[in-house]
Amino acid sequence: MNKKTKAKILLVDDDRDMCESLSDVLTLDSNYNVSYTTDPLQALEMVKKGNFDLIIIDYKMPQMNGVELLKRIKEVKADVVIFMLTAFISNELIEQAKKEGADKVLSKFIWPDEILKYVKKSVG
Amino acid sequence: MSLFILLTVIVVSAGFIAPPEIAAEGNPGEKTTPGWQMEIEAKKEAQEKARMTREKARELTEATREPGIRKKTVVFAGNAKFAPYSYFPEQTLSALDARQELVTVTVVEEEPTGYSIDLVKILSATINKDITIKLMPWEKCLSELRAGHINGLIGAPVYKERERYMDYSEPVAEIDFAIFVETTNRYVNSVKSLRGTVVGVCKSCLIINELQKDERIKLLETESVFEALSKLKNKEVTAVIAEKDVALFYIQQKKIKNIKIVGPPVGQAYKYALAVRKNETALLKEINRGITTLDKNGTLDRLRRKWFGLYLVEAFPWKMVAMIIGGITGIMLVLMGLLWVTSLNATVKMKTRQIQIMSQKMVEKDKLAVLGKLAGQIAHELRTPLSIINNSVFLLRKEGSENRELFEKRLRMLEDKIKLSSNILESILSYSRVKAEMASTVSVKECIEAVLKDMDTPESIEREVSFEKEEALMVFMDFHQLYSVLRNLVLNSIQAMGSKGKLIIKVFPSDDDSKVCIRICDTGHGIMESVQTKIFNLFYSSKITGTGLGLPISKSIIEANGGHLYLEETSEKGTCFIIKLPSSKILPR
Repeated sequence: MNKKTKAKILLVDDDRDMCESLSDVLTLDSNYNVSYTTDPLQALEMVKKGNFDLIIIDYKMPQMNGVELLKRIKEVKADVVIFMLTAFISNELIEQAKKEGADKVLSKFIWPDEILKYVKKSVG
Repeated sequence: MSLFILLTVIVVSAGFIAPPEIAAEGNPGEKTTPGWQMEIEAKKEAQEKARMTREKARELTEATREPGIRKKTVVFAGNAKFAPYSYFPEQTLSALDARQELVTVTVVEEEPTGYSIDLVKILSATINKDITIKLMPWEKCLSELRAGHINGLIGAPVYKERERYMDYSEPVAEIDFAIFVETTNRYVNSVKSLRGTVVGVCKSCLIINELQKDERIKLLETESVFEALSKLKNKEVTAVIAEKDVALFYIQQKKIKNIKIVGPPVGQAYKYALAVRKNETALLKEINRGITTLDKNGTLDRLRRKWFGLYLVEAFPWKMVAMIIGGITGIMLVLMGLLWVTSLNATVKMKTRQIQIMSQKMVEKDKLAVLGKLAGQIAHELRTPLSIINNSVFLLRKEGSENRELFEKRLRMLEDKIKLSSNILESILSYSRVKAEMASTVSVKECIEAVLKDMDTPESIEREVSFEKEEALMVFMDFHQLYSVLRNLVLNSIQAMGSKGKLIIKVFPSDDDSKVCIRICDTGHGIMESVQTKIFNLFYSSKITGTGLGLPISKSIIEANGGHLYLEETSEKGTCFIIKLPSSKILPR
């Protein structure tokens, strides 16, 4: 993969260990440029400043839920690809997230291979 | 001819009545009179007597032309052998004769009796008219009436054909006909079944005309019903068809045994009424008036009961039927009422059952909803560490163990998250199994530090944690339970504050050291008043992502350990929860 074109990914999850572990998975072989934060408001600031290709957001966060953050990110940057991770997938949530512009709603318990596949498909 | 006879009768009777009156007038204060004078007087008297008799006779002759109006006495005839309507009672006397043999003598009394006799006597008094009753053979009754020798009949079946020469009064009874057979007879049950047999029937019986139409029934005509019944007993006839009341009267009176009534009434029933000669309208009117009076005042009923007693074939017993219908209706209504009450009861029971089932279903539904929420909570709580575990395994496989530091980091992460998963499960299960199975003396301080260490609070949130009299801050309970309660409360506080604020945790013993108090405060937005009473309700959550499990689980854990957890204060400036747990010093080790 061409280093110049490697995709920039932002992870937002209130669990730092989760961010770290997923970041390690995404950076291990693929050399994606991965940043993460446990604070949704900070994530919003980072989106404004950085030029992210993909943002992976956890749905359940204490300060702000994932859909709310998604909405606000889309206001700032409409074309960014967004994956929503949730521990408990429901049709309602999928509908809500898709409506707000999420490209994918994935289970939080996803095999690393699988998430890598989805990421690769979306941002190369 | 008839007029002559009647006139004669009246002349005789008038002459018979008149002399005593005249004699009486002449007797008082009578003095001695010379013989020739006596003769003259006697002559005069005789002349006068003859004159008066003539006058009387003339008067009476005139009166006879309009009987019932001017004349007070009328003559009514009746059937002499029509018990119990009209008859001469008989008495049977038995005695031993000179040869010591039993001799039975039947004595017929002179005074007639019967239903019609009693009725006419009372009627006579009611309409204030003297009615002389003469009983004679039935055929003679009819011929005498036709001949105009009598004014009327004390009783006769209402028979259309006879209306040519008599008018009937209002009915005073009803006569129906029945078949009488010996009790041993089992094959006779209708008139038809009498074909080919000999049937006894009274000559004067109206049914005879009808029976004569069926040629296959051989009739043996008798003078009276009693005679017919006697022939039945003598087996001369197979059955007797007769007026039911009449036959029953004889059966009882003559003590005739082993006779029964079979089948339905024969032919049509006849009304029984008084009768007057044709065109005696005034008399008939008076009689009818009397009958109506007697009917209304119950006399007719009384007489029927007296003469027909148990054999009485009453007019249709409307009163009784009405009473029975009324009674049945009443009973039905009561039963319907009871049925209604019962059905109402059943309906209530059914509805109650339905409600129970519904509420049960709702409970089940609630349970499912609870389970769903619980599943959501479990999923969320567990999937994060499981996901991290999964990722760590993936990374370990990829990275290998060459980079020792990285390798150790992955293993540590694995251990931590496995432990966390276990704790989460434990805290969820602890709600239904809130029991300090793994209880030990736990330092509240250590537990709080562990919670804070494991929790990544945003840097913008300030922490202020203080412990007062550390050695007294020991409780006797399961460490993980306390951990989950404290973690839950701290998480709530952080969530309430958002990205900025101050978390203040103060742990201190009560004045007497019997309790350990843990106060957890935040500078968040506070809890709305409407929500304050619900925060400890299972699955109630004011937060969009809340499961509503945290506070109720925490409360039940604390209470199961003999403590209290409550909302101490809340305002726009922040919220304080307080936990009070018994100090381990006062609990047995």
